[in-house]
Amino acid sequence: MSTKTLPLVEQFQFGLDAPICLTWELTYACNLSCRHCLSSSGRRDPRELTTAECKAVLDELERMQVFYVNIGGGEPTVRPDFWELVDYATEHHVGVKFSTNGVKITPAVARQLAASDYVDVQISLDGATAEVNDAVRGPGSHATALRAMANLADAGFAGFKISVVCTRQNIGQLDEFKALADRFGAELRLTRLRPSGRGADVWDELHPTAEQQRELYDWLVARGEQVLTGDSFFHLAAFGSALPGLNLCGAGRVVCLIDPVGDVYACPFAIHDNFLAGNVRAPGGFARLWRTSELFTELRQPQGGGACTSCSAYDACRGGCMAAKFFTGLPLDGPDPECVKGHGEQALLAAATAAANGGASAPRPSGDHSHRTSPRPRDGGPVPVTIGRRPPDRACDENPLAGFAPDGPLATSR
Amino acid sequence: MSESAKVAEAPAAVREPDVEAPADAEPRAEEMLIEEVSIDGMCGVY
Repeated sequence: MSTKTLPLVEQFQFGLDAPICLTWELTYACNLSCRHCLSSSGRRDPRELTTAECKAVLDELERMQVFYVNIGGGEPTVRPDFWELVDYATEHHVGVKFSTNGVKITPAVARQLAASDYVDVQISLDGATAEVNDAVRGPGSHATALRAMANLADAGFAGFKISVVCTRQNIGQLDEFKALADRFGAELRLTRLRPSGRGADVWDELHPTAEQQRELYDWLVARGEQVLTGDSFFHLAAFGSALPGLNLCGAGRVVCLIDPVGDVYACPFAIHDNFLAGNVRAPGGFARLWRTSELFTELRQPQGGGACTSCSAYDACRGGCMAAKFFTGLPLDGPDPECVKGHGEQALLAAATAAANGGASAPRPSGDHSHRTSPRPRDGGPVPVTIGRRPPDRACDENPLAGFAPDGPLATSR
Repeated sequence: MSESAKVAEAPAAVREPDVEAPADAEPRAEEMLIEEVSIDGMCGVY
């Protein structure tokens, strides 16, 4: 008998019948205004999928045998039908993992979540201390997150996740994050910052330095599978051995995004028309887009590595993250802006020089749903002034927490 | 919670013999193994 081993990534490169990592942003509404928000969330989009449309998508995912969806936003729990949709998904054999800032994880909600075998929760926290966290996620957000964690732990929800976006300001707190997770019986998940959404505006300020990338890699290698990463640090594999998980850009192959209005993108970090496959409201729905859209078909073709193919580390990092390259103005077949071999810095310099000489500048993320009061540091142009004001159609259009009081009736009404 | 890859081992592809093999002969087969990868599917949300 002969035995042949086929690397799984070779299977994934050509795509699967259904996505493994399906992210669904249910709403752009959010009570926070995180500076790095990958979807520029804040205000609800009135074209948001209705409850019935969301259930139709879930029916489709069940038929496609999608194992689970990663639900985010915005803050998904501010959708009035959020718990109804979670229940509908699990009743239809689609597991749910959702990400929240914790604002609605009251003791009662935590108890209900702890009782479900098919729902996983992750609480976002970008600083082990309030000072570091709140500088990115807003005043009070650290306390809110820790209260939610305490509620989950008290309810007996073992193994919920604490999600940390790694930044220049929090890399020095990795041990503190791990200790926090251990204290709550939770698991720590670190995620790579991307220059997507509002993250494009703060990328230069927040993304880890080259020295910190090395520190992070060594820290992750030392902890192995004790720490989750969303498989987002595969660009660091060029330092040496690969980190656990899928070392491959899965955009359009095993990964995609459904946004709040039903648009389907190749990757949650690539919200731009260049990566838009279509809308679930169109005939054929999500399945047709996933299986036959021109964009996804193209992404599943063998990709050239361009200049990177001559690099000794190419087989390890495979050129890094598509979205990180795109939103920093780098060619998709070139190095990642955080290339650990330093090729990204050279490419960024070349791109900046070209832009200064009249060439194209880095593309802007599509859509801005930021609260109107959010700081807008990007252009420095004239400040728009609104004269007169039409009242919002629904109170939550303006404030997603309208009518909500912590531990009040809404908080326990699921 | 990381997810183990759903395909840990593909079914063995067994060639049909052209003639009946002797009873004591080893079956001719090619076993296709697909390496197991632990996938953390929770990507794309902060």
